[in-house]
Amino acid sequence: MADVSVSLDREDADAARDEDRAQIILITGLTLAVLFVAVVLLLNTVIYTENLATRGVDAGGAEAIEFREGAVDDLAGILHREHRNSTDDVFANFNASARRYGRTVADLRARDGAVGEVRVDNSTVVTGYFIAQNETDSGFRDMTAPDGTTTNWTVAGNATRTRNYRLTVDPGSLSSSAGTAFTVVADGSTGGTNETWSVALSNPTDDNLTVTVDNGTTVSETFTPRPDGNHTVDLTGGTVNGERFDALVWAEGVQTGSDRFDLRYENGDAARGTYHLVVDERDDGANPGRPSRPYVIDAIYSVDVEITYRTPELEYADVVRLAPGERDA
Amino acid sequence: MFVEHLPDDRGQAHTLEAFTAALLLVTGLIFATQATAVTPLSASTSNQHVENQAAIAAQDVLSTSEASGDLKSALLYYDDGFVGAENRYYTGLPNATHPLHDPLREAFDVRRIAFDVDVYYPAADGNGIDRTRLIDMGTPSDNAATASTQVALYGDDRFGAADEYTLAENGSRRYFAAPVGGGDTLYTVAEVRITAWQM
Repeated sequence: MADVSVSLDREDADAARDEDRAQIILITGLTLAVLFVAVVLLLNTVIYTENLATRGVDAGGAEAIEFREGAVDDLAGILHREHRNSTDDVFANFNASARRYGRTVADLRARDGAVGEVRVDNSTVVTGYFIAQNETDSGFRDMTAPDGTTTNWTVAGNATRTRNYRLTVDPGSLSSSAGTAFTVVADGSTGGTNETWSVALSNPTDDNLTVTVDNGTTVSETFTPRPDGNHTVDLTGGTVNGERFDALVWAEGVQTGSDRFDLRYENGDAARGTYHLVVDERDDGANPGRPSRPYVIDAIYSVDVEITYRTPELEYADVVRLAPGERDA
Repeated sequence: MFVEHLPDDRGQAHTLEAFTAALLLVTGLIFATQATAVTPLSASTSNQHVENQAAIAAQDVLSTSEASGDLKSALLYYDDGFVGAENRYYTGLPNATHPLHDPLREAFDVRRIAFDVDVYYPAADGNGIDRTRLIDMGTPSDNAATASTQVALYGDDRFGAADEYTLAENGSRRYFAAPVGGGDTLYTVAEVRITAWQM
């Protein structure tokens, strides 16, 4: 009996020990399970975060803006060339070229799965005049009137706005003193703001150019020439040879957008070079249809361009006023 | 006190259990390392950040060279094949006189990034788009980045090794892109595409 009881005790002890082990195995199993789930979640989060970190959130807005900027630049290039090259109807030629441009870029954009439309709105054309003097085979001409002798003359009378006004001059032809120098005058003294603004170009030493702006007070600065030896003054852009000249603000105080002014040249014999500009109005000076010196033609001062850019994610439309080279542009 | 040696028949089970546990641990480790190796940010040439950087660098090269006029000069540096190229197009970085030499060298070449530059333009027959290679360094990898921009070419633009031809007069015979027709002002519009990839 004692043996039996002893063996019973032993069995009890074994049973108790097995029970303890079962619990531990259960707990270990659960812990491992939780651990694996945690590791999986952690890895998943890492992968997800890395995906987010490298994903662009942009729906293609930058491409739409770039398309607009490119179209405006290219149409400005087309407009300027039509003004220079057209002998007849500038409006029809520009429209035809703009339509061809629109078709060509639409084809290119379609390859990328985007719809790009460029349309010129003809009802918004503001007419003007393109006035230019070009270079001849024998070189630059002087800045005198159409008759070739008058040195002080009106290029455009009663203008209100001017854009894309560039002058290129040969420094060797310029006067050395500011007093007798070639001067561009925006004169609002008759019917305008009663102010006068002028810029004089002179050549003090070497091939340098001194630009003297008179907007009530006189400010001048001297510039070194471009690689080809000439100087280009962007009057409406406010730069000389691509370098900014802060005082050069075209017709400051004279051109307000509504007040009239006369655009005159003084001492036109004291400079040889080329120029081109677009004015919105003129009723004096060289007449339209002149072939040269200066060449004057009916032109587009400004026109609205409708630009649409569509992708599956984005629809973008804008109307841009095309008037390249305005003073505050 | 005595140590009681109970009859033990569990040694085999214990060994089996130990092997299973070891196998489980090793499998877990292998699983973990394999899982990290496939993330997009693992250090490799297909790294997403490398791709993003190449795309931005390509876009910047196009934007800056377009603004400075170098991109257009590069397109017009053509006389029966791009000037100075052995096989109509360049097979590496163009020589130092080429307008795009400096930007491409700085953005890609010194960083050991390979690139192709292709030009797309309307086909001569008016149907579809043609391609001309400007620079070809080979076939891009699956993780190449691209960027493109448009350049308008006008009839009075001059091309050739010394700018001796104008597009309006000589373009249809000597230039790779055909005119879009109907007037001399606009010659064509070309799309320049850079494809860059980590070698």
